[in-house]
Amino acid sequence: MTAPVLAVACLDDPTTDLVLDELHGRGIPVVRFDPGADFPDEIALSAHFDGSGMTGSIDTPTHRLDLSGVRAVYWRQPTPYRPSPDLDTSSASWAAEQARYGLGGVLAALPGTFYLNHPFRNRDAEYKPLQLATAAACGLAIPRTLITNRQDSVRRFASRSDGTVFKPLWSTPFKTDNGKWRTIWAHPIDPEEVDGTVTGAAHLFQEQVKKAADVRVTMVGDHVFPVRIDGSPALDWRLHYDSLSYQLIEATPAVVKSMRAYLDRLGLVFGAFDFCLFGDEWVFLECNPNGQWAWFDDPIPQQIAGAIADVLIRAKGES
Amino acid sequence: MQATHDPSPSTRPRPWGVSRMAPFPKQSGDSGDALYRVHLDPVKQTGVYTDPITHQPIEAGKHGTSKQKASPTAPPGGDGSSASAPTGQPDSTQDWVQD
Repeated sequence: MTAPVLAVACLDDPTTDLVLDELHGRGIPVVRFDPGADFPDEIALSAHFDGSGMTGSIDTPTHRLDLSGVRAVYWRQPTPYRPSPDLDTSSASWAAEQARYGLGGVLAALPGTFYLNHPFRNRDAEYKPLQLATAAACGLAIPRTLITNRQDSVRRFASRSDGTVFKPLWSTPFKTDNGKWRTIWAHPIDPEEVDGTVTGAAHLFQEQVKKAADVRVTMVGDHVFPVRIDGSPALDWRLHYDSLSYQLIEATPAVVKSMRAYLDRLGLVFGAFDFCLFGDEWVFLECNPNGQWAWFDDPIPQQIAGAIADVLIRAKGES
Repeated sequence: MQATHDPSPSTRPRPWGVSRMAPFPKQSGDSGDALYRVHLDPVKQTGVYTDPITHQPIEAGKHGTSKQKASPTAPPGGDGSSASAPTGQPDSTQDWVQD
């Protein structure tokens, strides 16, 4: 019997479906569930530990997963563990934390299993300070960057830059007083606008690169998909998808080598790197360890899905 | 749902970054609150999308409000007034509630 791939993903995720279609076409069985949404109502967990390690099973509405027989884990973007609205607040919070550390912990500890990517590695790699330091250590060019809550530091930093950008350290949806959802997009700022309230939180400022275009490189194991993004009227191309055009290009061997080193250093198999092009130079902006790719024009998504399926099928042992 | 409204007045000014909040853009293909249902194909384990009224299959990514279809930064409807939060983070809907 062929060992299954475990897909950990939310239900409404066509990106996961692209990969699972590939796996199905190659005869690889898949077990999929969404721990934060499906547990405990639809998931039964029994994990046993003794001198030989962990064994046991997880039952979903359609499958039984043998915890010691998982070929590989495809960790997409599952729903966070949230307190149930059907319990009192304290009990619901307690149960959600127990689920995260219990079921989440079991899913992170499958013996000898390959992860694309391991959830703990994803978590670590989301931190921009670690991203920037790792990129620099791996030989990638990065923009001068400042993380601070000091107004004088911002002024000094900006005075040495030909343009300063503000971007969030972590993108969280923000609800305004009148109930509108907002977020922060990377955008140029006038440093004179930065007042004393900057002391109230950590803020990230970055030298603005006078870029010719952006490049999103999706790395999947040794597969490299550099996509040049043109046409953005704003600094942050995510604001104007309708204006963008995409072109598969080549990355230089040096950049590929550095990206490979970056992934290895952070224990990642997959990474979505954002660069901007400044002359011949590729300037690293960030690397999202669980970034999106299905919105590219065809046939790029199919190629990336195929590469992910390749890596999951060939997987042996720990990532 | 947990209470999200704190009735007590703020005692300190909002951090500067909060003043830089901006709306989620409207993207073509968004159709506001278009409804669809999704369930798992028991064998392939892929999502099966259907129209909730006609029960007819619809193509994934063509159903308006999918959280993660056409673009990595799908906004929660046009003006950001949707009741639920945009799922996760722009380009990074992820699995961790931050500590």
